[in-house]
Amino acid sequence: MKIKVIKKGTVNAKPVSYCDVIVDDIGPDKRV
Amino acid sequence: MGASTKLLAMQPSIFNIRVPLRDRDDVFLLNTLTDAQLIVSSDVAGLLDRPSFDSLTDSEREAVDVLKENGFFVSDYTADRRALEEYFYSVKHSTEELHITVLTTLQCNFACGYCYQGDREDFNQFAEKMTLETAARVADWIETELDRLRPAKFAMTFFGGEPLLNLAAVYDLADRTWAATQARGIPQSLSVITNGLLLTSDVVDRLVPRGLRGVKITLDGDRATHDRMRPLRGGQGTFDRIIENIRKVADRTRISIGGNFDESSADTFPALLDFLKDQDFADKLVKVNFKPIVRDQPPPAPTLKGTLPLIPVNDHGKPLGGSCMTSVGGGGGSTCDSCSFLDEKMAFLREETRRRGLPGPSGVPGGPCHVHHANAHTIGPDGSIYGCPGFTGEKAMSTGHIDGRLDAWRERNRNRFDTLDPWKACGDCAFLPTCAGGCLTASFAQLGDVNTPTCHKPTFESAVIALAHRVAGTTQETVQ
Repeated sequence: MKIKVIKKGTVNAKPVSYCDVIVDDIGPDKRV
Repeated sequence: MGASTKLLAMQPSIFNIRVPLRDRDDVFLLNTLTDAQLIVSSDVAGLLDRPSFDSLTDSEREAVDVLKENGFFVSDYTADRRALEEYFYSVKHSTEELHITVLTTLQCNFACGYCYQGDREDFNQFAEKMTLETAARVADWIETELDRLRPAKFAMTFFGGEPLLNLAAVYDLADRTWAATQARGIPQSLSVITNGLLLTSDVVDRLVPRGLRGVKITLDGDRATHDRMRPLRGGQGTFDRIIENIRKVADRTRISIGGNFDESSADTFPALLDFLKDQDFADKLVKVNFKPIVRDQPPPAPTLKGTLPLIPVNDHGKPLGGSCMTSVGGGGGSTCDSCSFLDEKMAFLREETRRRGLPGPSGVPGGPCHVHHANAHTIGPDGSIYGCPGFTGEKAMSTGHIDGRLDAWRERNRNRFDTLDPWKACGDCAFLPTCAGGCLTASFAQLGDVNTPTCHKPTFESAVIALAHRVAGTTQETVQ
């Protein structure tokens, strides 16, 4: 029985930075 | 026996993802709702398949406790789904940050063949540009929102068109919102998404004191390909000048490189990566991330071979009647070749980016995008409000206006965007917490329906496999 916790889980833990999301995910590629 | 009773009433979370690690008896476990990441021996992973827990050894019980603490076991299915809905609700209504994307103009000095704002017909001639009067009203509207929400942070992204074609509005808005946020003790961060042609040290130096956090610049392949994909309106190439501009500002702000590929250009991106790796500003780049071009119709030029649509699919992975090259209209049961190509290329370019030591994306989405955030808005040049930048080419999709006008059609749109839940068509997909139904701009472009999922599960799966082995590679010796 081996367990290595790389990242502990928590409810609503998503590190969503709006700025990161938009800089990374919104760009001309999302235009239609 | 209380502990046993609790253990009996639990089951594996539907958000668990398991990746067996190569050449070792370990498994990488990820729960997409809690974001927990574990490396466990296969006997621990096997506990997730255990039909009952009434005869656990002490070590098994300890392992089950760790799995439960990290969300890999839940009390029941209903609780798991309820936790997802609560998570989406908390994301939607979070007041942690007010984020405004401002389109200072829809005009552009480029003529990218894949962009609706390109040099086609007379679009650019009549494309809107934000006046300083409107910029002042946008700033007033933002100030009202700051007072209403009292967010911990304020972020503003300048976008377009080419936002730097309207520097007066950029500077005016940055100054006004800086004053408003400073007066309220709220930190402001700015970012700019630009084609890079007009990016200068003066622009960066002017915005850094106003909270400039980074600039995203688009490069669409190696020099020849980029110059073909992203020419000036007169047809001249732009690659060399953009690179020089990046070099001049790279030590002044964070630079993120984006790029858009299609079937004709994807294979030139490794050459671009080689080029970037060798530049003196390579270590200043904070992100290098390439994505497929979203189309709503076949490209007009014969040189752009084929289409690469993002295909909305149902929970069985079958297209929902989108414009897929190989499964048009009916979900005919065959794998979509173009989607497969696209996913494979994204995964390939991710790994190629990392292999060169450049900061690539993980490929695992970070959670519901802006369209699902009640306090993230996109504002067009005339003050119209949109759910996300992807809809700004369609004024009919506006959800409001900064002057508060109540048009019936905008109200209908607002209600439509307020009640988005495309993930309900995704079944129990383990990626739901991070994907939330995918890019709804693509759904709208291809099906005319903003509430239909766009699925790229295969690319997420390949990204998790890569993540698992990357994590395992760096922690292998510490697994006990």
